[in-house]
Amino acid sequence: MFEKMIDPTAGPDVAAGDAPRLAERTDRLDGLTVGLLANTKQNAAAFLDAVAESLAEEHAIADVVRRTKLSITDPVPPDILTELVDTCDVVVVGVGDCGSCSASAVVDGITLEAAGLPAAVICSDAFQVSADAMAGLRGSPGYRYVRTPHPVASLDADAVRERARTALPEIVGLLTGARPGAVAR
Amino acid sequence: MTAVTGSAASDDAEDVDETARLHYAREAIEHAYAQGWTDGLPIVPVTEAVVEEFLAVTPRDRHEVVAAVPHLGRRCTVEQAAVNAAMAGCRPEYLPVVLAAWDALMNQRVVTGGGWQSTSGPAPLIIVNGPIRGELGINSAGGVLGPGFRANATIARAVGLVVRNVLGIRPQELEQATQGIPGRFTLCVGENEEESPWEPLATELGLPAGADAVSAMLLRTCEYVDNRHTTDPEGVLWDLTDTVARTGAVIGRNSSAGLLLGVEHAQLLAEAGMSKADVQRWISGHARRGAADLRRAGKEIEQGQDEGTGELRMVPDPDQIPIVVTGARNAAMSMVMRPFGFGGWSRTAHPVRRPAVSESDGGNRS
Amino acid sequence: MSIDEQALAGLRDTLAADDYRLAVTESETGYQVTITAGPESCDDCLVPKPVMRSVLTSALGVPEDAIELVYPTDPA
Repeated sequence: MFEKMIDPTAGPDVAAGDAPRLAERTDRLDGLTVGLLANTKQNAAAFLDAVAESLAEEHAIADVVRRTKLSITDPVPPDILTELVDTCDVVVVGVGDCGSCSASAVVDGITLEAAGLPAAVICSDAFQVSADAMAGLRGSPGYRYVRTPHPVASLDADAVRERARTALPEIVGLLTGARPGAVAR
Repeated sequence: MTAVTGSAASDDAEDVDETARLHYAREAIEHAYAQGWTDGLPIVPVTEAVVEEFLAVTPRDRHEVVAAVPHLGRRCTVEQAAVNAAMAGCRPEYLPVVLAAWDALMNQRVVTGGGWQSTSGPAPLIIVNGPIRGELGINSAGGVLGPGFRANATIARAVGLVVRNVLGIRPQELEQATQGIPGRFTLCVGENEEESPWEPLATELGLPAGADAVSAMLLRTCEYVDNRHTTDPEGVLWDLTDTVARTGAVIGRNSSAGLLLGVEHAQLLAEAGMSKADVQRWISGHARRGAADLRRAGKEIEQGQDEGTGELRMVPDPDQIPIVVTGARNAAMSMVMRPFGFGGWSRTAHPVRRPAVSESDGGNRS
Repeated sequence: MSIDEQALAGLRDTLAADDYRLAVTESETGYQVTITAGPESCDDCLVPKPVMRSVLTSALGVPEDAIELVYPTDPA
């Protein structure tokens, strides 16, 4: 019964959308509010804090908003995403320091871009395979992120700061119009 | 029944037949509930022929994508919007307004972000300008925010059903509203252009005078300001601003605000020589609170403090305070409204696109 | 069917960083891939199966449905 009644949820294949596009970038980070989206991996928050510290010193950013997602495997929860969209101009995501958290961090980066926020995702180089695979699955093959040597979890505080300083130029490059190289659409 | 009414046998058969059809209609509505297709209120069953009736009144291709949530990989075509508009109780001729509402919504950064899923559970506010208000019976006067007007009620509901059915964002699932607001069911107003002392919103936003157009934003709530006490424009402005600047509305860096200005307040301010832009500037300049007030409310906010006075500016730039004149000219009251997100309103109005009028129609659309 | 040994080696290294091992055996319909956990592995660190399948598809040169994937958490 009611076969003639149109199902309002039916339609073209919902999964087959256009490839997510990257958000518009500005040339400089001066005066921008930077969001830090950390997972709960050891040293992730410390790494992002060190990045923010260097950004404040070298790029005169206006403010920092810190958020932590409690599940390393799930994508960024909607309420945190909304908060970041509302309050931030760019977001640094990390640290992808295991197979699934690298994949998840890349998804968060792609999600933030789709929501209009330039994002820089940091993954440790041991998990390049899963990070790239996830980008491919999400329709963004060739998605660029920042690689830092594995491991991150076992570093002491000074070493974390040093890593952050080393990664900084690439992070700034990804967040600004100075983004190097071709970008997959 | 027959014993009481004493009807003839042929009338009897008709009665039975009609009763059966009504019961069948009710079952169809129950079927829609069982499928999870409704917002809690009954819907209208839709068939292919109904969808075609709707598609006939828009020049837009049925496959055109009018809404999307990129991060969920979901999108909605004109045809899907038509199905849900019919379900919502729209007449076919409302569809062009529904589609223009989607054009307006998709221009809002919060809508293409995670806005539909937010804990604040915002409602899409749809504002209609132009002669189409009269044609379709879109209320812009008494009880404009209340029930009783089919066009207002169903146009906005058509948006909500798309969010639920096509974008797949349902409460307690992908939608994470803590409490939500009743406007999420439906929230559509016409601007009272006839009694507004100022140019219509769509004209302010750059469309030609007399254009049929829709503007939209997500809204967290509306709060009344009842001031029938004074004819002093500054008194009214201070009263509005006190609500604008309340601490509870502050999250993040500041709060957002706009006005659904009643006709009497609008006329009072205009008679004092103020334009809409003057009112926006006045409120933006005067909506301040001392840091101590905010601290007392447990909100330590460093950024945006005035260096001299230590006061905080509570709302963003003047042009991010939308002003819409709406409601009846029967009492001096207005609403402060709270757009969702800060400084993100697109400030755009979107034309209602209808099929070109053919000669044989004699210029009449309806 | 041609296995990209280099890609497979890369995948093995990635898994080893989280203390997982990977074994590939031929089956009638394609390949069976079994992943086992070492003592230092973290439960949450293995990528979701769709991601693993997508990586294996390119490394093994077969479509996804030709790969039978066994995770340490799967019931024996």
